[in-house]
Amino acid sequence: MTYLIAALGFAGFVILGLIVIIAGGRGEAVSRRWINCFIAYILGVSFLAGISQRDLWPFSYWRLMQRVGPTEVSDSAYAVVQAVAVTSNGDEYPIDYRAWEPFTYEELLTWLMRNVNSLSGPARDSVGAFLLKKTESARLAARAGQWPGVVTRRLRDLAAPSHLLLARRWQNRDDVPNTAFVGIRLYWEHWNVETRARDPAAMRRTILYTFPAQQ
Amino acid sequence: MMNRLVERMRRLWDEFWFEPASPLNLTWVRSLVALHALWMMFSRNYAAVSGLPIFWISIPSGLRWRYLLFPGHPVFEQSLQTIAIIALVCVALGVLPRVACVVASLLVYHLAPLETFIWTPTPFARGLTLTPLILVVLACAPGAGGYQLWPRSPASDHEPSWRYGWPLRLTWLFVAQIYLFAAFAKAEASGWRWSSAESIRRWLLVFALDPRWRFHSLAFWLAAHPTLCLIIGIVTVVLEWSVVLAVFSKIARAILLPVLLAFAVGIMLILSIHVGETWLVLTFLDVDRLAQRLRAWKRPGGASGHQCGLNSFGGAGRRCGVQHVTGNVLDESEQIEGQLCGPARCQ
Repeated sequence: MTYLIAALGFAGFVILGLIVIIAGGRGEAVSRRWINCFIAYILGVSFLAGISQRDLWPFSYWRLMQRVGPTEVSDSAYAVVQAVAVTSNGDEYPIDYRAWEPFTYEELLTWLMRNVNSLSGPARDSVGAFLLKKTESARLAARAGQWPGVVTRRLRDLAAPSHLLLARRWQNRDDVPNTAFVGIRLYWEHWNVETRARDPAAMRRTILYTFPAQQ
Repeated sequence: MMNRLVERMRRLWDEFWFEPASPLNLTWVRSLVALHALWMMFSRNYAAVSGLPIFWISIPSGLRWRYLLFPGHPVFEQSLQTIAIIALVCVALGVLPRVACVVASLLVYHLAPLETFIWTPTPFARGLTLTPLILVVLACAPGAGGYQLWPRSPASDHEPSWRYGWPLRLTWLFVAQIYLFAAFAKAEASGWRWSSAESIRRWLLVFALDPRWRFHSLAFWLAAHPTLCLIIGIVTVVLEWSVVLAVFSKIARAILLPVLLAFAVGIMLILSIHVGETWLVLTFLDVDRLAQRLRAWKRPGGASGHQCGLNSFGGAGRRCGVQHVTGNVLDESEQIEGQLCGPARCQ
């Protein structure tokens, strides 16, 4: 239902805008009457989204860090997932955020966090194969001294950052191994904010997903 | 009594929304919004996501219809992205800007959700939320012929008009709503506890302790200072509630513009969070005023800004002639200069 309201909200906005454009040629009084309707409509829909805190994108509710700072990082409250690539001798390397382009890294991680374990076996393997292929070709690019991302390669440092600014893990050739990646692992992280502030090692990891499954 | 109140309300509404504005400022906003959207477009490949149907499994059909997005059409989506880029270039340059605005708006509405579509229907804070809205609003304003490439129209379009005023105000409102609704969301979800030193410290630590984020040191340092954490919490909330003043006041816009830019940069450096839409606070910039100042500065002897005629007229002159006075008679070039320079600027 919200999807329908949101779609109608934008459709109404565009239609009224077009009416305002057409009415612009029919004298000031007519033009102003439609502009007033248009403004009232925009005020109504945008404040409906903001005050009700409902998603009517592009009339957004702008929920930005609205919660109190979390005490725990876990798979339930404030979740953090780390993705690593695995070599044949079992070494793990954190994956650079540019490796999974055209996906935005954090958006894909969130999807994996929510969906990967509810997929059927073949679908899960298909996702894993895709991730491994992207990671491996990014590794090869990084080893060759190239930019690891296929999309941001166009603008490089001038590319618009994604919503979360992630560290560039693969800046030098030596940041990646010279042998191929053979697997992907995703870990949930569990830590208490204050405890880890005193001891950075105070963290527990549990496996969310492994590809290939028999690793 | 009631009638008078309604009449007064109507007058206030008209005075507010239909206050004349400069076409140059409207042109600036149009170009800025288009260039910003182009920056996002060239930094993403929205269309490619369409070619990866395995990730679309959890997307309900209602949501697909909302944006008319269906998997398995990467070539078609790529064509749409190319058309969107062409339309945005036309908007930026002022080539058929009204048509280009509508086309670009519809295509951005269709394409932008692809960034987050696989897990959330609302790509807010990813950079293109305001673009479809502002572009349609700007399409409603007549083109300022003198400030666009094609079609060009008479120089009378340079005059301030109410037709340029209300689209600008709506644009400022959309930008202000980012902060206004963010403040409202904080108040609703957390109340005053959001601003507490403890809450801010924990947010800072969550970002500082996670090696995935790009910046850590400033967050660590701030987290160790409870007073600074409290100040950050209070200033953030006060600032977010106050941005709406920009819709109403020129002075507020002038003050808030650098403050909000610094705020955006600060959030990036401290929390590694980038809200792409916040760069549109640059729509607060009064380019018309800047252009006037620049013209005055470039004028011969204009290094002193608007000291119109002070030297030539011994302080008594309030016209803009500077160099060409012989006795009490102004020569022709001075008169032309005087006409170009409006009385308000000469005083």
